[in-house]
Amino acid sequence: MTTNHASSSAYRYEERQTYLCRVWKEKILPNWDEKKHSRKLRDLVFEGIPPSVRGEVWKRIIGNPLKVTPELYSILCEQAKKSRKDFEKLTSEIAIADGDVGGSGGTVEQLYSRERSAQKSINLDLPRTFPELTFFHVESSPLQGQLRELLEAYVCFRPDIGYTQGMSYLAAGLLLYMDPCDAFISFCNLLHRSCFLSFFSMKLPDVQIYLQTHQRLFKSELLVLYEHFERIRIEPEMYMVGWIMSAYCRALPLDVVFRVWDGFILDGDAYLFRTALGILKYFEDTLLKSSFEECAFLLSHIPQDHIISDVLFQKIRSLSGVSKKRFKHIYHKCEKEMSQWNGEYFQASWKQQQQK
Amino acid sequence: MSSQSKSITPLSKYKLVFLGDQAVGKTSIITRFMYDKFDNNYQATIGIDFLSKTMYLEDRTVRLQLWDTAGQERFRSLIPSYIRDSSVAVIVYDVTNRASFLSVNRWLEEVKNERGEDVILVLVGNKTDQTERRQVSTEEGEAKAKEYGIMFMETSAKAGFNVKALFRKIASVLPGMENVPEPTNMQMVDIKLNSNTETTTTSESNQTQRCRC
Repeated sequence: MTTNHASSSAYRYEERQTYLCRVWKEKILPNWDEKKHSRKLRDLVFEGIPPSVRGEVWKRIIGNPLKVTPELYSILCEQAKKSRKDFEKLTSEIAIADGDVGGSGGTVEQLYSRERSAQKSINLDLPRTFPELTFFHVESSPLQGQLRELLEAYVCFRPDIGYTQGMSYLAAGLLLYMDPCDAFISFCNLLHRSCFLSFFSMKLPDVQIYLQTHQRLFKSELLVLYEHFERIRIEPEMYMVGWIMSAYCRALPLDVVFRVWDGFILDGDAYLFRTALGILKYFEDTLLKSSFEECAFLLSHIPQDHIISDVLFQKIRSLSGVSKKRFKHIYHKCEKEMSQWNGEYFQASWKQQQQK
Repeated sequence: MSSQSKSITPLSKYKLVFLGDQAVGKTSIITRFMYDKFDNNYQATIGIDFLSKTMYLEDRTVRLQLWDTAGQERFRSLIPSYIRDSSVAVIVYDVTNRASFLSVNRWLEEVKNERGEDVILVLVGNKTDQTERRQVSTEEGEAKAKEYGIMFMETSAKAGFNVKALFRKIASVLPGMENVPEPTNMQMVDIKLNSNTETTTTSESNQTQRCRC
């Protein structure tokens, strides 16, 4: 009986997916300009974009305001290749210079400090991105090569930002649905228009404004849990940094992650922060009964097997107070307060110095 | 309030923060200690991860709260908030990677700038199982620890070498040796959170004085 029920609901799900694919392919994509701001499109996106059209839809929604061309991408790839060769040369120089274990001459130290580069970080993180998906894990796999290329090209494109841990997840996710060049263009534009740029460059005042925004929304949407966290001293740095910077790849099961990205790509930062509150709401009952240790553990090790995707998205949907507009409003308020606070702080310390 | 705190003996809790360059094995050491296992496919830690474990020592029981951090230099701006009220900072390097050893100075300075002498520092050289690839000798590690007057140990999370010993050694120098609380169950912990933090800080300063032997 139950198996019958399960198989029939699986069948209904399949049927629905086939229908959604057809709608996207026949109704939406061919009439993009007319549909792109429609209610219908929003509803379809929040139902989850079918994997077979996901890449195309993401690409179109993200667009390319930065006007990154395929030519630029291939130029950047060439540059990246060159700096990779330099890096490999440097590594072998170190190996030669550092023949004896005890040696710590100045030049070797200098070589090492240069070795602490984006290149090195990327090398270390490639096999550690989605280790459960073997096609990123294995060194010889084409996807790992594409991931390396994309990240290295971005370092050449924005040397002021470089590579930050977490970027590899976002890039890998895009590569699963797009060809390398489109993935790169989408990656640059997505970073450019979102909180990712602040988080990845780890500029503290900017990150703090986002965390403060989260706190305000948290307080207004889930007051009881917010107060519990205040009492037991769970701070947003403990979970939000990891959640946002891995674009939830470390927190949620992959199928859920990409559905979250659907919403994020359409609605921007607001949806990322709404998802955080959705997760908190999902585990609200457990968290309310838990101590500091239990909460801190749960938030950094979300029991992914226990997440029922539809229930989670229901929770996210129910947080209607976290709209795009309201998010922006609160963000700007926090930004203003932060700069005011900084201003007062500097004024006070300046006065102190004067008095000295 | 005071009669209550006498009747319930809290489990002493200590915050240990793990610092060190990317991929030196911070998560591996913690996982070996927590679950006695090793996995070749770790995900990079982004932000911070939290785990806790009760350790039963001969004379007392302690609760260790382990904070596992991201190693990339970029995340350093977050470090001060992570080490604010920690009892111990464990600085890990990879013995097969000299660059990670050279970074140790900066990690140490970072902690000292933030916490002064208020925190127990431990230097750990990990991955000793990879003897062929070793770039930092045991003597160098020892010398560095001596230079800073801190504890030192070499481990291999992969082989399970010295990891338990490391935590036992850390536990043996934790502040608050004078009170010997009984093991309690977890629910009691959060009732006592505030008063417990107070006792930790006061006994910590005693310890710092005693520790300068």
